[in-house]
Amino acid sequence: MHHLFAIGDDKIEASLVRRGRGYALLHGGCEYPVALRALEDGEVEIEVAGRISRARIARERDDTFVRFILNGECHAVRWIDPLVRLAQAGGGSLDDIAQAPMPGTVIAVQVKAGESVTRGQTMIVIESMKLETAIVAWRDGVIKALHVSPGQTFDRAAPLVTLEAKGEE
Amino acid sequence: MPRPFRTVLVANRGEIAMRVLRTVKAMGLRGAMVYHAADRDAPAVTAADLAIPISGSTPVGAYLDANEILRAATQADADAIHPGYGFLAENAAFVRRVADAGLVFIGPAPEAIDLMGDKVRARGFVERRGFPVAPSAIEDDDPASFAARAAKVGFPLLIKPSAGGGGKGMRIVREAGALDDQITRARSEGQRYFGDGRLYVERYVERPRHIEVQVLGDAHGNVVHLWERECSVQRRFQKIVEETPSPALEPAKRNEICATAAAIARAAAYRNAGTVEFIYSEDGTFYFLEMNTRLQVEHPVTEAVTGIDLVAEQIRVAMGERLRFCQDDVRQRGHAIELRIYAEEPARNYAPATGRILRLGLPEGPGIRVDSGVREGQQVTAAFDPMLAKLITHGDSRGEAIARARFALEHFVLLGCAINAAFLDRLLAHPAFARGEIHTGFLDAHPELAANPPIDSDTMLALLAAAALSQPQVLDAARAVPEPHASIGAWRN
Repeated sequence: MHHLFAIGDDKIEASLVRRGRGYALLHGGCEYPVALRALEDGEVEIEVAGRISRARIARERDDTFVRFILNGECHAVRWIDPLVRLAQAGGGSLDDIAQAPMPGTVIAVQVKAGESVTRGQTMIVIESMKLETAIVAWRDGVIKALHVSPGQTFDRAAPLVTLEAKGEE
Repeated sequence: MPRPFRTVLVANRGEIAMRVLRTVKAMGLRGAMVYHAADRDAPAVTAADLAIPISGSTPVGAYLDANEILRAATQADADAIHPGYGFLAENAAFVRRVADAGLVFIGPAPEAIDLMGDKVRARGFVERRGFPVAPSAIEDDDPASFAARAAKVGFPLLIKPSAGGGGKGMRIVREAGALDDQITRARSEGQRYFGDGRLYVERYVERPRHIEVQVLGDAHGNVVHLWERECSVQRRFQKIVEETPSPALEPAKRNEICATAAAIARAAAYRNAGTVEFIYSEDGTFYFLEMNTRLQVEHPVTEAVTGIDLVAEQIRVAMGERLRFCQDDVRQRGHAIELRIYAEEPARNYAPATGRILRLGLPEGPGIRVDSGVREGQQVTAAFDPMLAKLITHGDSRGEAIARARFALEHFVLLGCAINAAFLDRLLAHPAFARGEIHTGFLDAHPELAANPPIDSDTMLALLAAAALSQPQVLDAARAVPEPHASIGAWRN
């Protein structure tokens, strides 16, 4: 089964399969024997085709955080749930939803659900990094849903407002 | 007449709450804390002798609510309130209410905050007393003509809220067409952050250095300076690296700028800890920027080189004691540097990051100090400022302080939320930084520092392997596929 992982802005396909007593990673047309061994001091050894790196790993939900002992480099790898991918590929186009460009706080909501807006009209004002940013309508349309309210904080990529193009249903 | 305290209430959160608490307890005083529910997992809550919950319409609102803080102070039977920085630290009305409640505010008198907290008034005062001030500043005494007068100053312009601080609401305007819109936004931000929408505008100077001077005064008219700090490396007008001594200053210029700061504080009859900020240009001229009437984020570098605990001095002065040293006693020994550890992604224009702190390990070693306000398991949210901790290193020379800072960064472990540690290391390794050739536009001039370096293929494979072998759904999918050779699992011991 193919899995999709995100490292930074890159999306990378890979599969994991059983091979004998262990596992192999399939990526880019190559197969690499892989293993993950827990060491006593909370560190792990990551082995790929005989090459070993020591690291600390922490995991929550779909995120794996890796910090290499050798140079202190930190990385986050997100496993992209195939169910989520499927949902996005099907109905509810992502083009209709304004997502938060970064974590922040909602200062004002200047539209109501069902309201018609014109391109360039301010829908929501958010504050991130100590600056106000207006989320403006990127086309003429109708507010289908507001996902936030004033005073609320949100994480990056949180949906803020759903704006349907006019004439759609 | 000295009036000793028994209990000090710390009206703040995060690393500065921990920092103040440490000295309060070391002085044998009882340390009380306030905290909003969003901070219930913060280390200060358990480190305090008493922690009192406060509430508000937003988490930040709770820490800004004078009624809540005073209620907590009464409940804690506190004699004095230490405001830390931010929140109510420079709110003169709050300081008066503290006094009315029969408590001592550990900070300057409200008159000093009134004078220095308002950029327009402060600049006028400093100028009248004959100290150097920024060219081309105008004040918003006639809102109707403000935009026209601002345009006359000449572009690029820097707009600031008159009551502002910490870079909030500051905007550079490079062309007349954008001026009206930027004024409207800056007014709104000033109104919201400081309850005061009046603006201040000055000609923006390219490539300036930010040099500030720590001052300390007592209630008996004594004022000393504790030398300078250079805080030129900034992003979005916020400091991220601070050091002392400044690599830009020769001894004569250092004495001149520090003496000027002390004289300004003396002219303002300033007491307690404060900081006089200057813009310093490459040709050696400097002018007054503003005075911060509080303990600053970057105070630890001053503590490192002078050996003076600034929080302890603040508390002693607030108790009415005389300064225990005079100007000649205050020496700079070696070099100190502070790095602000932010939950943010430099490669995404320094956007704040959120997440749960899954692993936390703080560096230790000679000359290394960590002021941290977080613990393992704590959620980092967008509700508060993204600064999590500060790394402070001290060495015999600037080179040694930088080397120790890089060692400390390498051993600073925080997993679960993106932080700026790798970026800070790239910054420290930059040859221009090593030569001390810095200015407030340094990061804009070196955008490559903010970018994530490409990941090599070996690293990427190791990351994919670690994620695939850790993610239960991926392991389950692999196990669900029949394999002729029996597997005993991923974790081969």
